Amino acid sequence: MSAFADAGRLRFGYRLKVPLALTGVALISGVSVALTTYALVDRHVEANAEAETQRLTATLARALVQPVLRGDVWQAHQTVRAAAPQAGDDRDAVQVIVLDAQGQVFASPSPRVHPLGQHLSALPEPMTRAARLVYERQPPAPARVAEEQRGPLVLAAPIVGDEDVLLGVVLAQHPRALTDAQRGSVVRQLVGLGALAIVVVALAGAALGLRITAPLERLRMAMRAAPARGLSAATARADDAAAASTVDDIADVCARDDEVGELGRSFASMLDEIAVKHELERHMLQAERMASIGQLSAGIAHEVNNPLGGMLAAIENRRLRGDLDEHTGRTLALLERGLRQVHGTVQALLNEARSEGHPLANDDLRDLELLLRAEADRARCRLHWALRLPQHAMLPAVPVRQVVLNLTLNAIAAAGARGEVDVRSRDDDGGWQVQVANSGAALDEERLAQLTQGSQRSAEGRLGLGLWITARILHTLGGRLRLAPPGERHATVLVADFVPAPTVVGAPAPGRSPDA
Amino acid sequence: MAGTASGLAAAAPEPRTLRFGLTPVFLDDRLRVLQMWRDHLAAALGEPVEFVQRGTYAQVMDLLLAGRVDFAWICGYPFVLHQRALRLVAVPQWRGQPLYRSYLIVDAASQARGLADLRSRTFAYSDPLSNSGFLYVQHALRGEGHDPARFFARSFFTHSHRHVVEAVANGLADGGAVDSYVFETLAELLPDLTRRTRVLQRSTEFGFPPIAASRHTPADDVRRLAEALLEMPSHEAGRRVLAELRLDRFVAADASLFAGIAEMARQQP
Repeated sequence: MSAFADAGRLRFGYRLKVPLALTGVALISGVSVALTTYALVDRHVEANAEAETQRLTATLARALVQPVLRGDVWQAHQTVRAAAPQAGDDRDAVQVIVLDAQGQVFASPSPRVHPLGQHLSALPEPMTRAARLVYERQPPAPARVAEEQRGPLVLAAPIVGDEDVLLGVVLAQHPRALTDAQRGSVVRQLVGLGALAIVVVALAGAALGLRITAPLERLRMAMRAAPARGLSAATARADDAAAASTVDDIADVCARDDEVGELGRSFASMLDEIAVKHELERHMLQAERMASIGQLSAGIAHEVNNPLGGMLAAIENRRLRGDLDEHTGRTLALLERGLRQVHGTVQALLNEARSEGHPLANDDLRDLELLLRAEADRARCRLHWALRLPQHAMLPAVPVRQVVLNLTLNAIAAAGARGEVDVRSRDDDGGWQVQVANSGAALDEERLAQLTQGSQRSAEGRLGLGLWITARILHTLGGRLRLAPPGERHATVLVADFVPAPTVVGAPAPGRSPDA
Repeated sequence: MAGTASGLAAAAPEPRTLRFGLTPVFLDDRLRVLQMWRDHLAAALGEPVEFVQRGTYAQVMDLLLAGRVDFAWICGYPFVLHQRALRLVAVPQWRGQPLYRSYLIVDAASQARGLADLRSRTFAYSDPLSNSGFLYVQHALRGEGHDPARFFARSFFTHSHRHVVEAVANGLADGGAVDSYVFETLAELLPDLTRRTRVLQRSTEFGFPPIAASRHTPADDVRRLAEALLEMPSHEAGRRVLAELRLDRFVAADASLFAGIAEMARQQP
């Protein structure tokens, strides 16, 4: 059910969102570019219409001097038709009309529309107005008539002979913006080429998006698989092996220099922490088992050694009284050897139990520092280490190591990158205190109480199992875990009070057996 | 200086080239055909031939009369005008006879039924020295009692029969006068153009525009060119040229073939 819900939520995850976002951006960009291009083309046409028409009329006015002067209608017609298409071909194209000195049509590329001899008064109003302006000016000069905002532009250029004699007028009408045909062509090309470009860019965007999200997806799959692994000690070893495999799988993700790489490194670090906790738990269980065995062994030794001592003493007393026949002497000797063998066996059991509980030594503290400095370096956290052996008491090495290890690892995780962790000890008659301070978020009494329950999560989302174990070990040792007032640089200061309990050292206390 | 003169004297004589003037009595803008014809004549005459083209009949006639070209394909009208200064070399035969007509053409949609219906309209002539494209119309108008100078509201020359057809087809002129040989050839080559026009009136037959020689041209050259022209059907290349020109052959003729034109020319003021 949960997996199904997760799948539903992730159906529209970043794996789709990023490519779709890039595709969307490509679409918006393409449409924007197309609209901008269209606007620029329209403006460019408008800006060039007048200059183009002016050049056309001026050129025709010069070229038509001789044809108009000689009355060569055909030559004028050929010249005008070469310069401008027939109006009938495209009503939006430039229209040219040549008038003679009497204001009658002398040449036109569209003689059916403007036949020879047609008077200028029959022309469209803007052309008539422009022509009259030229005829009225002395000396002859070009005229310009522009209709309303988007209307046509009419330019008139005089055909001038020697001594400024007006021979005729060239009229040219030009659309000032994109014509319908041009607009259709531009739009078709923009749509066609734009669609092609958008498809290419969108595909590239989608491919790029998938490529970008691929590491995130791999990380997600790795993280999704991680919670499935049990945290119990029973399955911990298999889980740790799987975690190591996961870290190897995402090694290239962790090697990246971006945020995904940082996320991968954090995840790998979390897996490492879990593995360390699993190892600690295994040690804890093993130590507890060994302690139980030691206690059992001590009890057996206590119960066996006392009667055993009595029986051996009785055998010795019988020998001291003398008067032993040979048969009795051999019997006593047999009994003594048997009892001695039983004693040896018990002694061996006691020695074995005693070997699991060596007292805390400087080597243990050095091992801890070595281990924890590596962890701090990996987390880019600064570690101050000032842990000294207790002078007034002997403490068991294994639980102390576990306590210090747990507290310091938690502090490193809480302090984070560029954080600071301070580990120091205080030794007095009341016991031995280990103070672990960090510069991370502050921890209050209520939160500490929840975390030591073992079922709450820390602010970083990690289980408070470490603190729960620590509190349990300390409780076993007769000590406790408490909060100290925060320092200037440290928001959280945890103190582990170790109460010297000589009986704890070598818990089975075989050395204190009646036999010792 | 002496050295230069000596150098000039020592130079090889410039090869002679027969210069042949062309007028738009045929479709003289078909350059590929012209090249074929020129190559054939050069091969037949054994010397280079150069075709000379000008914008008007008058310009070519000036060259011919001045001996600047040796021969020219001219219209019958200028031939009869300058008959004494020219020698008739050969006449093309078209559709079985060395004859052609003048066509009066109008727009295909025109309602005109005769020449009189073109009064006060715009008219396109071919050339002032063209029989079919000018002289015949002038004669016909006078024959109907009209003053050719005032009959049309506006008239102009295109200096080419083909352009007359284009002017009428495009609506620039309401009517025009054109060589029947050129019109029928255009009807084969550019039917879309001639389809936009209609033949309003056909003239009587006239002598086909002849090949004439300048009086300055040596008689031997005249004889050799006449032979080359008359012998064209005997050669593959010559037949191809004639086919492209839509002509049967070139034939010998005398000036009497142009008597009709000469009569109209005499009536021309």
